[in-house]
Amino acid sequence: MKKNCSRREFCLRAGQGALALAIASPLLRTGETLAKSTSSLETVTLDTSTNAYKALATVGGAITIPDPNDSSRPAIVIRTGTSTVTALSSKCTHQGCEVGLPQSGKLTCPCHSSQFDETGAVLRGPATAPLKKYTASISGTVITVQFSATAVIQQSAVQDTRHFSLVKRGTFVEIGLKDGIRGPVRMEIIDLGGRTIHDQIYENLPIRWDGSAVVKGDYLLRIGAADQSWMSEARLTLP
Amino acid sequence: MIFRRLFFLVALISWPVFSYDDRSLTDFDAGFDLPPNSLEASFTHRFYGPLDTDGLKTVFGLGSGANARIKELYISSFGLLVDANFTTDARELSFGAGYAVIPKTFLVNLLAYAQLSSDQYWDTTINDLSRKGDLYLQMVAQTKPFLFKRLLLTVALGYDLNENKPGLATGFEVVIRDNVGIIGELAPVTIKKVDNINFGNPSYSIGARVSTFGHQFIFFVGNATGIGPRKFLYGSGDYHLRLGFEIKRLFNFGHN
Repeated sequence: MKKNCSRREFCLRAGQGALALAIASPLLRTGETLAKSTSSLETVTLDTSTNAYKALATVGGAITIPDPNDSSRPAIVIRTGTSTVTALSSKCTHQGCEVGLPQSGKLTCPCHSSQFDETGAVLRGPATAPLKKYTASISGTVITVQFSATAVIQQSAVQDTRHFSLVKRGTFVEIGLKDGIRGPVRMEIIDLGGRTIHDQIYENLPIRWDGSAVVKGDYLLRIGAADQSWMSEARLTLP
Repeated sequence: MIFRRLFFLVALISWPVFSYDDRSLTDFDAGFDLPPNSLEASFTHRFYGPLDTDGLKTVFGLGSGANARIKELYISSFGLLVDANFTTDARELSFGAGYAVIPKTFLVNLLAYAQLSSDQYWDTTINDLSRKGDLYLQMVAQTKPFLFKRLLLTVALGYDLNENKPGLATGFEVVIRDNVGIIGELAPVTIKKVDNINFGNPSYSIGARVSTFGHQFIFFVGNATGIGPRKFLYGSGDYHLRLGFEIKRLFNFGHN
């Protein structure tokens, strides 16, 4: 027999439910940040033979990993084929909610039901722009995800100058190598949109570069050996 | 017991004494009948999920999130209308002003309207949410009730300065009784280009309006998810039916 509950009883139960949910929700959220990865400044490698990433060993598998672009929302890595993999930001381009892992090839935003395919393209609104996509590749069991330079630039603490010294005078930049490190070196300057605005190999050191022709702002300065034996990155602010 | 309640509800809905006239459509204001020196507060909801395809998965679209708008419309004593709106989709903030011309001998009323708005959007150059402003201009022409005072027709011509393109909407109201009407609107010429996902296809809605006790209740179905004239004229990404409703309350400072 169905038991009727009074309004007072209903309100009490609803209140208890809401309280329990409020207490439980932070606990439930901790699961999002469990994924660990080996990360250099902008590259994350995931070994699918390990337990943490074994979901990516099979086609259709997907996991979340921390996104250096967004501390509040993870990136989603999807194994789309035997030799293909996709990495996307989980931040919905409609209002910034976190989209879920793909179901039948579709990523759905829980807030307003926007849908994206596994390449990040919009399948259904209200979102109008595709999900942000990162470069991802697979070689054997190792998946490599490269986050954009924006992520690195936005981390104010990133100043990896183990291999070089940087002296700035206005827009004029002078780069010398630390003791024991030899050239030739490759210098790249990348803007916030991930576009390379300068890429050159220098035989003679120190490098002297005039950034007066470049729009003022923050850039990623990447200095590495021409033979790719080492690489360092730092934020470069041009006045 | 249930019959008594039902009777009370029907009596309440069909009680015209305290009802007020507002022949605005769901998205196009045409507040020619609103009393001067009054404030109309409204709350509008359009659900994102299609009623006809999502079915029980989203409780016919109800469980899929909704676009909601809070609006305050003030009508001055000399025909000036000003409004302030907040819409959850695109976190849109907008402020509008219009001037109503209500000729006594002419069948058609006119409203010239301009709206300044700020929308959130996904900026692909920074790969994050950003904001942009817009100016929208509009002219609304609405007939007075004709055909035994049972029919009103509306035409709205809008121009979006961001998109640099005009749009056209038409609407109607069939007056069932003083406080009950069937309303509909259709935008055959849309401002946005067809992208088959969010905008571009003609948007439409049809619903019922019930006025009572200083309130208006509008329930409608339509394919658009945008609220307000500009967004309605942007068009819709598909032709699926979505539920929506609007609740209005009039505060008449002149005659309380």
